[in-house]
Amino acid sequence: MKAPDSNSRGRALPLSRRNLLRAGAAGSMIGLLGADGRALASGFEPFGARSPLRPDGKTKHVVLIIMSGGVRSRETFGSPEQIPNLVKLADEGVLFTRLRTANLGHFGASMSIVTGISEARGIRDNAPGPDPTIFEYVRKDLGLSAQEVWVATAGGAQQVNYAHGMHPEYGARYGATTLDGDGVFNEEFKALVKRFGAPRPLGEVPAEKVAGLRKALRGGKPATAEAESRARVERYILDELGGSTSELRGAGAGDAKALRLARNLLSVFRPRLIGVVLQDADIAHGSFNGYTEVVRRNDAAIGELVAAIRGDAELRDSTAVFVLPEFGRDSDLNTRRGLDHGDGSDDLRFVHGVAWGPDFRRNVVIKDDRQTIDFTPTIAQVFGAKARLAKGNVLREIFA
Amino acid sequence: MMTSRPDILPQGTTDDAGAASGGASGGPSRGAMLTERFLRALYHDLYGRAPLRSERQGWLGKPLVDLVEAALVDEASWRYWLDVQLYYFMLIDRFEPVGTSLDELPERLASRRISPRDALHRIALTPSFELRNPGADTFVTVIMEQFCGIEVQRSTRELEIGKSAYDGGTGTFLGSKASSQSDVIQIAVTHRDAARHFVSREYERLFRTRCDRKQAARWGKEIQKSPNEMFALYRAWFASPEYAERVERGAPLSNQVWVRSVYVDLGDVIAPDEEVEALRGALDSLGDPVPLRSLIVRMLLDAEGTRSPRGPEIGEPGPWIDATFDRLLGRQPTDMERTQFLKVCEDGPDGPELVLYTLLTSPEYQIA
Repeated sequence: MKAPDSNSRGRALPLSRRNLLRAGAAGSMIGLLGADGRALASGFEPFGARSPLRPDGKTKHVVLIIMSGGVRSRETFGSPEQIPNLVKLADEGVLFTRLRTANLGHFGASMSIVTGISEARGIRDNAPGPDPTIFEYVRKDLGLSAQEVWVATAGGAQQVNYAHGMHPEYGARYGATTLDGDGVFNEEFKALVKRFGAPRPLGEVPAEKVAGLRKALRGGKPATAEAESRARVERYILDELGGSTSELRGAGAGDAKALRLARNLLSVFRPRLIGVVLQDADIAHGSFNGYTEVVRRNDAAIGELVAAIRGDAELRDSTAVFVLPEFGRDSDLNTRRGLDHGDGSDDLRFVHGVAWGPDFRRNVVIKDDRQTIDFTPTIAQVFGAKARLAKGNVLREIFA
Repeated sequence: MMTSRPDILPQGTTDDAGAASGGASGGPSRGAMLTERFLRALYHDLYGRAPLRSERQGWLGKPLVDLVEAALVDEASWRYWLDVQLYYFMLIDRFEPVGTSLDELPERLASRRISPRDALHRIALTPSFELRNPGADTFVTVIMEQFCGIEVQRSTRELEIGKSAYDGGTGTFLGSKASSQSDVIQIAVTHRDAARHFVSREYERLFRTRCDRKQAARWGKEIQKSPNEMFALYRAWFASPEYAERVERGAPLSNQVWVRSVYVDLGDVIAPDEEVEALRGALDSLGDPVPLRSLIVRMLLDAEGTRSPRGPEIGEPGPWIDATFDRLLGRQPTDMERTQFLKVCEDGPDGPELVLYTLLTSPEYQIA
């Protein structure tokens, strides 16, 4: 079976590094330098096959999708016809019907999921939190590089702060590599690149000269591995700019870009852990219909992501997927016939969630209360890492 | 004038002109002259960009205090201040207020016909602010958090009263009677916590370090009583030894300031707003913007208006390298650097481009 991918017209394409790179091949090579100062070869060096995260498990990769923006269970598992892909995922995995959460604002509630600690954050705060995130725990405990742990977001500058906290024992050096799909692949930026012209290739000789200059600026010291990692990210961005991600439009386009990005990152970098943080459902404040459209579109995009995983020989039997909203929404419509989030109702405080993967039980429904902050310690458990400061509990009942 | 009250000035600041005492910390005195590095840092913080060639020629060697005085009555510096505040409230991209009464704020701030506090009030009254923060819960939460620094989870009663007032109910919100959305805004903006919070976050923005709580409370009290005193406080801050220390330490450039500075440093031009926003938006979307900054530099080195000079255009390579180091990094090259850069510069017509690419993507250029 071929892994479905979509071009801008929605036609299926095989998901492969070749197709991804072909999409952005023209004019994509630029002056990228590796740690040794040499220009990196065209295209991406493939990562080797991963070993299981735990000796007793099959999981090698984890995808965590946070449907941030506030999504009620009524419009997801309460209306299964709207979310056929999530329903299928739940049928093959574990469905939680009462995940308790708190109205800490979108930023704070989503941050709580990735830290495993309910933390109050200002709605418009734009700084990392004090606590380590799941990304830092797994990078530090497993000694993973920045390219093995990613976050793809849809909510702009603020969501970049999910990459890492400020805890002195963790922090930026263990942070995830973070990309916001709606930001870097926005039409304005792409238009500017088109107008100015994509950066020219830097040949081998100029690249060596630049390497020499950089070495002089370092006082003769050698380059760090970080430089090579950044060079790969630089090339990836340029390739993506030439692709179809930036052409996604309409209600929920930001979320669609984040999910498309996640799918491409899985193909190119084979990350151990990738977080996807969505945002567009918050259109619900002013438009209930727009909100349900976002829910449907996100379900379809999650379906494409999972289909891509199923169609990839390496990822198929080695990837786990977690999906949950950060909180729900009010019980009743507001005066604008939209849905706010502040009434303290069960619609707001309880959400559904799914865990799907090769090491998890199948077709199981957990009806008892659990918490959204339980996902970080659980994912850490999958990795054989420890979320030392998290307050949530490991969801042991998901494991087969 | 605020400067007649030593208690409102930063520690070690003299009260005659808001200038600092200088001495061992390297802080400027009233007569301190602007160096390349200090001028660059001041322009980053006051104008959100590097100085143009004409501005460098005009200000280098002049008293620091004179530049601060000039900037505080310059509409351009207040335009940047407004950008910073809109970014703080996340009124960017599709929420950016365009063609509104906010356009006149820089001129009114420069002529002291409106205080910074009242300018913030105007921001909160825009349709963009309401669009950005839809619904009673989000709107009142943001008002309490962003204006007053209140953690709403610990003030749920105030939040509920504010939400009720937002919807037309009557109640006592933050100590004052409120019965409308505009009351909620007015009460929060003029609340004592708002003045303290504003002073704290502005101090943190300029000094890149937390403001002492007691000091913030003292300053906040003064600003609440006399909102126009904020102008004098800005003046005193820039002239203080603490600010000189912050320049000495260096601080990462925000993406917006970085974009604007690259345009100036490459083409001696002010970047068009729409290009700044497109590039800033893209850069903000990365946890680590360095890879994209590198791409952007290469793109601009080839673009009209910011194109790199070719070999013969720079004249003598040695002096050009010294001047470029001084201009971009605020220092002279070391012997090793000069030797290596000279070699590359003389080795083909693309030498200057490679020099500029290397310097603009260096870790040192990313801070100021």
